Amino acid sequence: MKKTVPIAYSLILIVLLCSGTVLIKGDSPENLIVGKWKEVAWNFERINVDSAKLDGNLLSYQKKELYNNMMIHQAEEWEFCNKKQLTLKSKDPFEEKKLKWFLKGRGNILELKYGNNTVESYQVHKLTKDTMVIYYNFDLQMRGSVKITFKKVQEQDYAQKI
Amino acid sequence: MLRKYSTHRTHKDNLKIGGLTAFSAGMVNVISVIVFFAFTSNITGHYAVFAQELAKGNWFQAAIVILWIILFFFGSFTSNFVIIHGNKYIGRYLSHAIPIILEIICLLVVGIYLQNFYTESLQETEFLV
Repeated sequence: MKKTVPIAYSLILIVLLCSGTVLIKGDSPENLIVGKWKEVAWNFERINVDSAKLDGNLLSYQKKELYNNMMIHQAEEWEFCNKKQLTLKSKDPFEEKKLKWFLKGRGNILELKYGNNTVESYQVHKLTKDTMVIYYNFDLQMRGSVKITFKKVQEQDYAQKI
Repeated sequence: MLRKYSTHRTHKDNLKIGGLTAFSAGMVNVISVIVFFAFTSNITGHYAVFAQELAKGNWFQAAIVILWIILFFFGSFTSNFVIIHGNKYIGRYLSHAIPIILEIICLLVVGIYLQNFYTESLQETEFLV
């Protein structure tokens, strides 16, 4: 009994120290997400069509149909700024949307807020320095959820450009 | 009903305690899911989430979850410590009331902070949860 008490306290202390170190040294999801992200893939899971042919990728007509029911995702580039501002840029250079972004939970929920108080939430499945995968669950008749994959756009400084 | 030990509690006392704890924990859990997108009352769920984050290699998130679990243990230890050892010094009634008062203070602090100062940053969310 007497031996187990110091071992238990030591274990708790070790766990606390390890978690503290990870929290101080590790990359917070809020820092990782800041930057420019380019959409590279849209995938449907459990889609209601012959997915063997499609390999889960979205057909253009389906994408169009979905766009009508969604407020964003016509954007190709998402820029997350430090001040919680998200800029969505599409192919059209004049079309640009600005909204607010927030990470919730333990950094696993991405919440987007529009000016008219509309809120969209996504599950952050993967977030690394160069890849981000988020899921959007539809509130439609459609089965399944949408997976959007992003790659980080590497910013070149002046020296690299020349 | 709280002051009586398990062997001295009647069926009615047990029903009251069960109803009260389930109601309060449920309310807190629902509010935290709506506001923070995180469960606060499911410790077994936290273990599942911790294992999931470890498997994914998300060390930062795993550290957050393990800290939540340790804080739960700390709260549980504090209330038991006060009840068991405070019995002799401050009386049975007060020693049982202190953990509840502490919980009320915690909830009030979170509520006031949410209403007046919350900027929806991740650090605040993790701390308030």
